Amino acid sequence: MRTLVLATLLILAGAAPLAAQPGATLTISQPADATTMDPGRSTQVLTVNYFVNLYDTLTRWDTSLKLVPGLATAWKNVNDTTWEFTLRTGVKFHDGTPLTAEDVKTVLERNMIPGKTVVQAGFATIESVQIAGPTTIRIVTKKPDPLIPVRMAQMGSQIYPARFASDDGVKELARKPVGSGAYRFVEWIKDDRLVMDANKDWWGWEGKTPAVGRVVWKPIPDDFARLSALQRNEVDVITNVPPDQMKIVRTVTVPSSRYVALQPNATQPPLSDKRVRQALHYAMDINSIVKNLFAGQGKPFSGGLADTDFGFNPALKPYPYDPERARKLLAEAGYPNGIEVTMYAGSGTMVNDKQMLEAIADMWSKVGIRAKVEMMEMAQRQKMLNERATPPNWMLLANPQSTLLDADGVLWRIMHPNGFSGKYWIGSQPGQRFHDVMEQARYTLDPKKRKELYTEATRIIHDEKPFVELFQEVVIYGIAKRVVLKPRADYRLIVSEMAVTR
Amino acid sequence: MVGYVFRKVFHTAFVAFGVATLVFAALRLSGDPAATMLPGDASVDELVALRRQLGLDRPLWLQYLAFLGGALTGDFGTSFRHQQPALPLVLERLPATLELAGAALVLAVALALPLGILAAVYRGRIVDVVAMAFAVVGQATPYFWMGIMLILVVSVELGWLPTSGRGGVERLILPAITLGTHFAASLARLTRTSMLEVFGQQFVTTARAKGLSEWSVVLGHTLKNAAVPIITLIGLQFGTLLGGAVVTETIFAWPGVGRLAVQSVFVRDYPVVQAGVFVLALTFVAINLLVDLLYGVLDPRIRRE
Amino acid sequence: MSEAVALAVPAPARRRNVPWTVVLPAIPVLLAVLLAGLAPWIAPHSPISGDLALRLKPPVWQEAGNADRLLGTDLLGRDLLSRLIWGARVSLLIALAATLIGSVAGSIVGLVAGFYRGTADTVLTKLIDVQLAFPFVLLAIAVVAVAGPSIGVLVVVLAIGAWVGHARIVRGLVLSLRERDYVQAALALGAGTPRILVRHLVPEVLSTIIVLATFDVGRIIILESTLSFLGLGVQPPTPSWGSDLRDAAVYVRQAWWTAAFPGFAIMLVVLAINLLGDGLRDWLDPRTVRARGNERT
Repeated sequence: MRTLVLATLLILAGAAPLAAQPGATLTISQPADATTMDPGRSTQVLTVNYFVNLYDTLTRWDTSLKLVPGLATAWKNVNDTTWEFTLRTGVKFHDGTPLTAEDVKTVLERNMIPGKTVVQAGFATIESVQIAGPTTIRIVTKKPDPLIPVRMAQMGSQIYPARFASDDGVKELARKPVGSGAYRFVEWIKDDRLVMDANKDWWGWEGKTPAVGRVVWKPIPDDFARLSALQRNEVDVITNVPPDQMKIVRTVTVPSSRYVALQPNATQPPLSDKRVRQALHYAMDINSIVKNLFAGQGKPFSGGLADTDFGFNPALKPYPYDPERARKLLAEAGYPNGIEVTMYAGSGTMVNDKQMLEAIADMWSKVGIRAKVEMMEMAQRQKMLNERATPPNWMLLANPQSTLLDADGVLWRIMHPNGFSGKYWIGSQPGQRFHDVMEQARYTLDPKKRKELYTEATRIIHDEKPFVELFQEVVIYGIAKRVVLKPRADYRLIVSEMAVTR
Repeated sequence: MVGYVFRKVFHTAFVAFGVATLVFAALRLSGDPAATMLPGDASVDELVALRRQLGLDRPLWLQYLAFLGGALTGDFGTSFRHQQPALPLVLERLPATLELAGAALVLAVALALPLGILAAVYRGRIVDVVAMAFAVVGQATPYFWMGIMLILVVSVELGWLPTSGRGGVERLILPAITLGTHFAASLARLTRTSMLEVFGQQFVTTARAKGLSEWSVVLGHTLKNAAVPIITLIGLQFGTLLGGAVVTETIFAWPGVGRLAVQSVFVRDYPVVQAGVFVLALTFVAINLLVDLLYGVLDPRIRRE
Repeated sequence: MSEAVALAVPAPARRRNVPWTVVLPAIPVLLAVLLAGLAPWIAPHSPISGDLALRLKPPVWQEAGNADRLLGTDLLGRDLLSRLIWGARVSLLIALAATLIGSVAGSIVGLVAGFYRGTADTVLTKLIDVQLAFPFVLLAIAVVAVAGPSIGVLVVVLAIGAWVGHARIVRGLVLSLRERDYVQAALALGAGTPRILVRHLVPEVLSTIIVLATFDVGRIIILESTLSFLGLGVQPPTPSWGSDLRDAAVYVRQAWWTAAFPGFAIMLVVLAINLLGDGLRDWLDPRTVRARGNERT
């Protein structure tokens, strides 16, 4: 009998190290520190990663990017312009106060005021927010909006106590966040570390103990130092691993919702001719770039949407590398001797951005497209764009975020006449087929109909090339041996989805 | 003496004013903070609304007066990015930078002075050559290269010290070495040269004639006279030290002012840049003031100038 | 009358043979300048066009290396040797241009301030002090932000960094020289100020300026690499040692040659330049000459 007990104990003791270690501390290192803890004041991936752990939203995307309940347990259309959300009961903020419909209403209303937050564009379709009962919220839209449930999961929809929505309140919130999320704020020494502890009362644990008891966020700006820190086990998770460095550390990857494209000025010759734009795409060997510069981490595509987004058209294949065809198209368009273009990019748009543009310029030169590469500081780039001080034959390196995982949130957001890229292509203007299709899809509640409309829209993009798609980016995280992490395509680091083994 | 101090303080105030105006002008010429805060694909309306919120649509002269008035009372406005008052943001980072700069200075002086003295005393011999070789190589190595090499060799390969971050003394060593190397190199060479110059002067040969031991001559007389150029160097080099601090703080993830200032310039966070430049400039000027006052004490001739 | 005075003035220490402490370090420096100048003819490949299939290949003496790419290739498949040679052109050009502008501008300011004193001096010193107090790196970012990161702008920025040092030191030197007997005598005799400046002060100050300028070149090469670190340096695809070193730093473990060679290039050239400066100073600077003279007794 004793040997049996002893044996059992030994087996259990031996098995224990392999089980998930509850209450463990996880250290995450990103290239920069968060700028603020106010969810309305930042759309940067780096900073949003803090928000998604501290706060909750009405709806959220699960690990397979399906929309599931968050603070709201159910939602439906009451009529074409009204959505009704039923709130979860018994939710408390980290300071003990209960989360009420009043808080939700106040936060959403703050997001709707222009200039108060930087996320206002995502809430622009909302007319008003009404409280229809202690656990019922009604959102009334100006026109039918099929995306309201999705909008309740986007950046900026994090819920905090109503008292923080005042001008003074947000100043305090920016420093000492109070949310209802899986992790509560402990301390923040800027540029050094931010500490969060597991919120035992979080509704989302579903009875399980939190695998990670404490998260420490340590920003390390320099790539080399960050990689070295992981190698020395000073940190557990690092983001923004340059693809070339993947062999040095243990990594996990997933194709993401963000893609890279070149945004040409299609309002003036030579780039106003669709054949020239098509030539740009044919003259690039994207597979070679992905293989050589990004260690194969990148998914070429066409049609203007990543495969994570609603509306993605899998029938559209990326253009093959065909320099002959490119040359022919250029000649047809009237440029047998080639053209001159300038490529602009903000430094730090992405890993190896400079090198990629140089490689592309090199490839293009072989078909007569003489490209100059101009890297500029982000702020300079913005200034140039705002002042429309751009030469006629320019193009910009862009990697738009997919805020809603929906064609409307990326394609139409930037291609809208008022959008970032809309002013550079005639097809965005009212009266053009693309514009009309996208506008219609925006206000259609029936998902099947929307899918049809987007299929047509993406085909137009594929053919017209108002921007030249390069590839879908791949999320690459470096992780320590003891970490269990499934990377999300939306770049969010949600600690409650991670685990630490011995 | 009082007149001297008064003149110096007035001079300091003028410099502070000049720096403040310079940074105000440079910032406003150089870009749009609203554009860097919104997502890259924001619409024009969003930008306009944010600019109004940040007070950037007021006439330039009004912004300037507000800035000056605020600066006098210590109010540099609210950071666009962090939504916190700008000056406290800078000040809470200052200790980290001073710690780093101080450690670099101490390390440099502790290394360079003996090296320079030895090189001067044993001029032309192997000690001199090796010491000067170290110094010249040190000056020829870019800051970030030294930092990366140190992390690679000492931290990753040998595992002796942590890679980055601020913490106990062991985290201070690598960044301090990186930051202090250039200064140590200049100081070693300057010490050597100053000592050599002083060696050749009359009073030293007199002291030697009087039969004082070699070392008491060296330490007693020459060091005191070489002190002036050495202190000048410290005052002058402090500015370069701050420049090197930016790179060092970035590589070693050190939470100092340099890193904050550079980040803020890149995103045009005017209040923080203004506060940061002001604080850094004031520190620099204060140190120079100290140096000048020290001169006044050490060398009466200068006071009359 | 003033001619007689001029003849009576003791001439500044005349140089005899050039010592080896100057010749030896001058050789690598001149070599670098030569390479840079002849770049279009001696570089084996194009520095800006690379073959992606050949990226990160090691130097010829390692297993995977090949004789066509002697020092290996960088992350875009460009020949490292060619990039080094062309990079010398850019880095040295920038450093020399910036030093020239900075030292000339600074010395003129220093001469004027030190000689005329009075309001000119006060205004100029205040200007110098304001700029010295302003953290240079931030100034550099602001200027590049306003004017864009072209080579011309870089030269201007670096020259701005250089002129203050010159101005200050030259001013100090002129202030003390001014008090010398022969200058006072010349002034008393009514010799025109430009003549005094040119005949007496400039030769004395020239040696200091040369030494300072030599050290500046080295310092500026390093500064250029710091600016490249922040993304403000030479823009792609133009090669420069500073930006190449910066880009290669992350690859230091798997492709050491991409970082080692630009790094060595910088170090060797700056080393040689500093040694040259030392040699020049020992040879030309009247103060150390005198010190050397005194030591013999």
